[in-house]
Amino acid sequence: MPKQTNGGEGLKWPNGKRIAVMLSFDFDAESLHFSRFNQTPSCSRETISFADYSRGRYGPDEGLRRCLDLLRARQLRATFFVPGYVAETYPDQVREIASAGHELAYHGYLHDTRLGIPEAEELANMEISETLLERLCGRRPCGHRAPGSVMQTYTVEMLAARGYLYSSSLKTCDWAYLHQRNGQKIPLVELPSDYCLDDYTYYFYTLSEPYHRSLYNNRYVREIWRDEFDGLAAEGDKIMCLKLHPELIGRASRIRMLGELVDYMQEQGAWIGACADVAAYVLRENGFSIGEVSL
Amino acid sequence: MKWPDNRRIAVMLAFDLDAETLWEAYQDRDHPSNMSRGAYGPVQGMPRILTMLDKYLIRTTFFVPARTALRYPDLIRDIASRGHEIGYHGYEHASSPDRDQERENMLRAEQLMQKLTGQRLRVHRAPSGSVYDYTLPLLLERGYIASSNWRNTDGPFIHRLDGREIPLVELPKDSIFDDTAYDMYIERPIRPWHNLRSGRDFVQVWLDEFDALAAEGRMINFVLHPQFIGRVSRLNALDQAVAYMLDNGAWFDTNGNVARYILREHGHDIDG
Repeated sequence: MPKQTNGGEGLKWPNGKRIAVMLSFDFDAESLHFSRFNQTPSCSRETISFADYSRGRYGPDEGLRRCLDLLRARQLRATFFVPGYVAETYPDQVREIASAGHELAYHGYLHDTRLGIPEAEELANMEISETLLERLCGRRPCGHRAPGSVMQTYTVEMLAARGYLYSSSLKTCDWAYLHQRNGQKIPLVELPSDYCLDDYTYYFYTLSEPYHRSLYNNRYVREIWRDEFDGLAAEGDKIMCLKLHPELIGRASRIRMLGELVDYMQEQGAWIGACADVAAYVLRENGFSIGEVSL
Repeated sequence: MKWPDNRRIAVMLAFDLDAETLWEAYQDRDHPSNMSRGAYGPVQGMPRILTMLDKYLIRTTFFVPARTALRYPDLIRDIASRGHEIGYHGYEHASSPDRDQERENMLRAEQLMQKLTGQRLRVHRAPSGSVYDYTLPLLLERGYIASSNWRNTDGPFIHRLDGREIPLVELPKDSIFDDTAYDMYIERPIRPWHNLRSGRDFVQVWLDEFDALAAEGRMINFVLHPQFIGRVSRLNALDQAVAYMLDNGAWFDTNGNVARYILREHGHDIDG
């Protein structure tokens, strides 16, 4: 077994389920656009165009409601990765997410996607954001996704030291696996994903540099996601971590597509859960006790 | 070109097993997320690919940078032990513009692969397609029999040097048969790569081209990257395409074996 996939290969899912599917939402609002503009921590509302700012607000102002409705209608628990800035700026929306029973997880303070953020700066981002999230939902986050999925060289050790259960930034494989230190498994799960499972790849559009123009029809996207799901479910020990943005997937027709896909996946034996639930399961299966972490 | 057993077309389902070296070539060695994309090839894509090749009893060529072989020696041994061919693809995922430096890269890569697999490297595909004035003479000097670098024809053709034919077959490639033209996606400020296509979509491009080239009796040399094509949805689409090509007269073999066949047909006496 390749050492990168420690603890994931051959894993069986609970209740005979064929695959663990996670609906994970990066609730970035306009901070998604700050980080694309010039990738410095000084980005703000004033540094981006009105078009991008207003696009970002589609998340809290419109898309989030549809995401929550989709989840509520199916009684599913999901994970929302929320930058500290978003928790400060949209506390009502973030509280609503938490009160619906969903998991809040760490996603930077200002959605800074730079590679090479100084370690002390990132530690400060984490402390501020954890406190902000705890204030809104009553518990500290136990999951991490780097903004832009750009993990830093020190991130794994920082998460381990702060008691995180999982990271969801890498793209190593389709197994959930445990990180290692000196060849030994540590109780930190990686929940990998990929660009083809990210709505951003298909639905993000802007004319601001670095410009990005690719808009797909929903049938095309659904076919890719369904083909991935079918193949991964057939393999039996895999996860599928969909990365979604309320600003993008929250459009009316896209949410309808996602709902159809979710229904299909449930019919086909998917366990659909929050990232923390899947991570806790993987840890227990690998002989780690979860302790007092509240999920 | 007449292919063996009245086959209509020679198809090389060749893979570039760059793994992390693709990202190191972008200076991403300290970018854990991008390096993990490279790892997906050996870790997740390759088991699926090797299973599919075994299912169809297809032998093919893996162009492997030496750095990848150092990282994944067991995988390289496994590839070779299943009867596949290892091809030269740089020491790192890079070619030197300096002939002596590149000779040194080749020598070190050849020694490493010989040690790991017992194979002598005979087929060449330059990383990123970088070919220099010295490349043909150097390949001749080192006894290579196949190059997969030119894009000027659908091939195959035998190279000429100083006005005479040399025992080196060109098995051309092009982006149309390179999965990264469809399934590589990079989000970055400089030279981003967007426009991801589905496996079903790009396989249809290949099958249309296959039908037309088979009617002409030509060849296809694929450029497939396990870290991208190795995703299950894409590999299932490729699996269907392979079945179609087998049913429609494709001769699947390695770059080396196709080159050997062509050289013998043209009266060249080659060793091994």
